[in-house]
Amino acid sequence: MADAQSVSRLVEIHDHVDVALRSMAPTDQDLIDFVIRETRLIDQHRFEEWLDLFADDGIYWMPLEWGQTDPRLTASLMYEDKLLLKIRVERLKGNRTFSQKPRAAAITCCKLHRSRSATTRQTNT
Amino acid sequence: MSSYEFFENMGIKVWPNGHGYTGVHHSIHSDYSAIPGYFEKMVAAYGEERAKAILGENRHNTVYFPNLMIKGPIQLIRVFKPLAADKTLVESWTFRLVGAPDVLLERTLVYNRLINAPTSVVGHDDLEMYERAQEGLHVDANQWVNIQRLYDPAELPDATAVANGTTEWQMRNQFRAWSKFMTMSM
Repeated sequence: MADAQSVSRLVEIHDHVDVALRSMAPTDQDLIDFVIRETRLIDQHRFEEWLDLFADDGIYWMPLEWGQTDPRLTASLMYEDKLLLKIRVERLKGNRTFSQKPRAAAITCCKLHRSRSATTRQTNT
Repeated sequence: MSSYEFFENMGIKVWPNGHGYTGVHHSIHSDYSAIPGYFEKMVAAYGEERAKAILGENRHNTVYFPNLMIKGPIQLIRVFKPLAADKTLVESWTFRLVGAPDVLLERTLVYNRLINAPTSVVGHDDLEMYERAQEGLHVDANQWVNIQRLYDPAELPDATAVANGTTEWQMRNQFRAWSKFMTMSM
């Protein structure tokens, strides 16, 4: 419970927090833009930048079975932390990565046209 | 990629009928305490001497002719099913040890993801080699596949022996086993 504040200070803090919360929550368009950007980075082989999208404790999980909830004691196709993802990206640069001679083209998994509405923020891609 | 020396020293054991395994030299430094409680359960079940013998066995791959590969230190089997001359289905089977700590299954599944999965970063380049070998087989220039590495004219097809890890003795034995079984009733 916050200490009692003067009324004017309370209004200021309340408005500040409210604005902060609003700017933290992503809109649907933010999420759409993010996914498009991610696929574009992969398409353009900008893998370092793709890797930077991940939090340090991020996990890339590709389950094996539909509806799978357990990655630990059930087989998965991928369950990789940032270190493993980094190794995956580094491998693509390797000289003895024979399956990448010639380089595979990335497959875009989504081709969406970004819809522009009055509430859309400009996204730098 | 590991050096030739690494594989040479790893050794291979051949058995009759095209079977055999790599990773011959037992690890006498097996870390029995690596998984809490596991060694104690093994001793309770088998006695200390047998438990140590079991845990001290650290093979790499055991290959049974014609198409079964067993990984000992983790509980994993791979089966290679030919669908066509240029198409093979590879199945990975993972196993949970009865009464053993969950962490053993977890470890097996880590390996399964990293090595056996279609998404494996290790697997991609292996598969590239197999594809290129398939392409090579279409070429007319050479009508033979060369598996004569470390061939010894005195080698027997149905011997049990240990050899240098890069020998193709087991591969030769697989073809000898095939000939034997295909002509057995003749």
